[in-house]
Amino acid sequence: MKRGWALGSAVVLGTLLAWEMGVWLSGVEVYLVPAPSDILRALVDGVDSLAPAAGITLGEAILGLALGGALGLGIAAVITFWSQLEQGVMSLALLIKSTPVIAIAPILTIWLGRGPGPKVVVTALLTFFPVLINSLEGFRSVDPAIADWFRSVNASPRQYFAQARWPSARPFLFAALKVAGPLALIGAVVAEWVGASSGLGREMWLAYNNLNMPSLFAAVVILSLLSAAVYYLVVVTERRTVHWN
Amino acid sequence: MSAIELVDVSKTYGSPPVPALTDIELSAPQGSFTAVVGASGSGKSTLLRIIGGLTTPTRGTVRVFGRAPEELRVAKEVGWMAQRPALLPWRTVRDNISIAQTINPQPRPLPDPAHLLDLVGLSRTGDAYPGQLSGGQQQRVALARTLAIGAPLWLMDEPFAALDELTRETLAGDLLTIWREVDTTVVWVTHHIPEAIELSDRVVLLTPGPGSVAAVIDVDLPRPRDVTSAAFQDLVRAARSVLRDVRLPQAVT
Amino acid sequence: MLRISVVLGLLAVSCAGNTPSQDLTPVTFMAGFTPQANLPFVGVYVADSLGYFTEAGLDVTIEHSGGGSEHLQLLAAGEVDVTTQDAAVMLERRADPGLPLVSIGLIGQKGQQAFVALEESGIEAPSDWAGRTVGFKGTPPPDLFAILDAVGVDAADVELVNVGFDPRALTEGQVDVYPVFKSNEPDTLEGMGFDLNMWEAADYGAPTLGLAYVATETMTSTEPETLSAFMGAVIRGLRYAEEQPAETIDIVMTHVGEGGDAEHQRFILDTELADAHSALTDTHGLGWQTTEQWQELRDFLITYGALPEPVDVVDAFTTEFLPSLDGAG
Repeated sequence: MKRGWALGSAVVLGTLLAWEMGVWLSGVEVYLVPAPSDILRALVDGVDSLAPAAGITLGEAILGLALGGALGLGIAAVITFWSQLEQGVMSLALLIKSTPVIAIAPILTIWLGRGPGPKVVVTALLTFFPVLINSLEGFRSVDPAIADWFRSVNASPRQYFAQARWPSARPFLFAALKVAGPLALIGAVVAEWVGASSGLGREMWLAYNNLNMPSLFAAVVILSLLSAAVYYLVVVTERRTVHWN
Repeated sequence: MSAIELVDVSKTYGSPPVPALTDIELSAPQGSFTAVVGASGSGKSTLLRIIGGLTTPTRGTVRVFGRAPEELRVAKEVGWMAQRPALLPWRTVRDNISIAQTINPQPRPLPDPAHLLDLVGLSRTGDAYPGQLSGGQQQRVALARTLAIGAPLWLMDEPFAALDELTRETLAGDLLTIWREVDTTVVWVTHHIPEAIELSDRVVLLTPGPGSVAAVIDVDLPRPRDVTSAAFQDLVRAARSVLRDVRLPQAVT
Repeated sequence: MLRISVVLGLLAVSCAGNTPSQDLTPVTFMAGFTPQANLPFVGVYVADSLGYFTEAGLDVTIEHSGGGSEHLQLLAAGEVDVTTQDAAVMLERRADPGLPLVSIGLIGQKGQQAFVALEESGIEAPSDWAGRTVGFKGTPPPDLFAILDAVGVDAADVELVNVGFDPRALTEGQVDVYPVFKSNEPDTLEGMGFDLNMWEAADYGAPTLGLAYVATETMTSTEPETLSAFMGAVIRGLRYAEEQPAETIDIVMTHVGEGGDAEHQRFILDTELADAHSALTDTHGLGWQTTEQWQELRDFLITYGALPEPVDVVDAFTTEFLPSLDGAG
């Protein structure tokens, strides 16, 4: 385990070093290819604006993930109890999922104002589908032997759901959250980029318009770190709750 | 009065229809231990599911304790054990046993789950998870869970098939000990002839599919049974010859 | 009409005995925004459509930026030869991150940034902005503070709000005063049925400048003939646009495409043409620029914190590629 970390760090550091050398030797302009040292400097210099921006984006992403996750879970549960709704509900879900976020975001800004509202909604729209699909799969993947046992004791649909379907679905749900978590961050950033607002998306947009590549990359680095943090949060939560495996 | 009574029962599945059981006549008294033996595909599991109310026969009548099997299932009066323990991996051993009592609760006195744990010899593994137990231990928990329901009928579908010889022997002995204390009616499906004869009062031998009753062999030996005794071996031989005869190709159109 | 012009143009080319396209110098032009009747784009569209580029010995590829800063990046990387940019932004980019940009023709002698309020709001002058919400795109521009200074309103008395590029922010009441480009949103808003009051910083003494053609320092030193040929052709195109606006809009629409509004494009053209003229251009021709103009702009930007000082403007522009007033080139 320790060796893996050491090896991974060595690879990353080696890449950064090669990048730095490449920029230095080729003399390429900072506004075309910034060197890691430029990016690091931008990170340090910009921490006063980047840190609160990161907080805002993270908050929007988590709220959106919670909303989208709840929606996906809820819809999956409804379909599980009333399977005749599956066709209609899934068609609607597919329709919503297929709408490009870029197109919806400005309209949401008009409806919901400039606060976190549009970003949370955009993020929820992005994350609900993977959660829905996986949860539905999970609810339906109860071990047949266990399903038989519940039938043999004549368990009610509600008891069966709580004691068999929900626990069976948990690994599937976590798999979806591992995908949806980083996706939520991207959704929040995209929504900020398109609309007028605050957060990492806005920092990136400003940096890009000013052709300030080091600042742009610095914001990207922070976004990646947040993404990894969310992913590992899901992994740790899974380990705590699905600990029988 | 028979606890279990099957008259002229047949079962056909699917389309095109495949016959699984034909012309089954079977009766078993209350508190008896009946083994059902046959090769794979002889419909033994189907027979069990019909008795347990999980499926209905295409023809014929089934009565358990004078009632329809479905009624018993709804009243949670059927205890099942299968080849796979089917324990809930996300709950402890103790919880797996007690959950059998909280689901669809019935108004009848039930045994204490802690006592059941002792009964199956797992007193100290109550807080373990099924994934941490061996196959034999998991079947013990499954047995405790079946006991927890307090049902008068036990239907057991090859519960020892996945276990090794030594574990099977130990569990067979423990199961018999427990059974004699609780006075339940048991139907036990197996493909293992010596096991059937060791455990049951009578062995029902099925022909290969579609299964019908080839013979019923009474086992009058006192328990615990000596598997090396001549009487035991005679019974095993008799059962084997019946099954061999019915395996010979028959002129069926 | 367009087809006839093209045919005539081609005839002129062949009659003049010009060489086939293998001998034309390739030039890549990237407009700084999506296709529309911004004046520098128009010069290029017309020169391309009427064969002025071919006559000048150039084979020009026309591209458009998506609206970000990619055109400046591509120019700096050498993928694009000439682009367009707002004069103030060009100076800012020269300062940070240090792009080697040079204005080779200042088409917009006055800037296009302005502010509008709905007439029904009762805001009749910037002095009425106190206690109201004023929108900005990206960051609050120097123009805004210049206006406030000019009318004696304290910036702290105005609530600044970050708005997007949808003018419904104004009509839906999210802000009282909305930032616009004179040639663009006012027409859209009035088309939606709203009457507006408009103010621009130039009316309050700010030395605003508009769009310019931009190349790199490298290009200006290594390919002066190409740039001269280019500017000659586009200035010719702009003069045509002034004389034949209707035909020009037809040419513009071929770039704008199906979803475009020809009347709106005409509005953009007329508005920007008005600001393309000044005392300087009357004397020296369209696109002329002076050190004084650029210095005033630089000082203005420094005053309002949009530029760090010091920045030298001498290398930021050149008139060497502009055709003389009598139209030669």
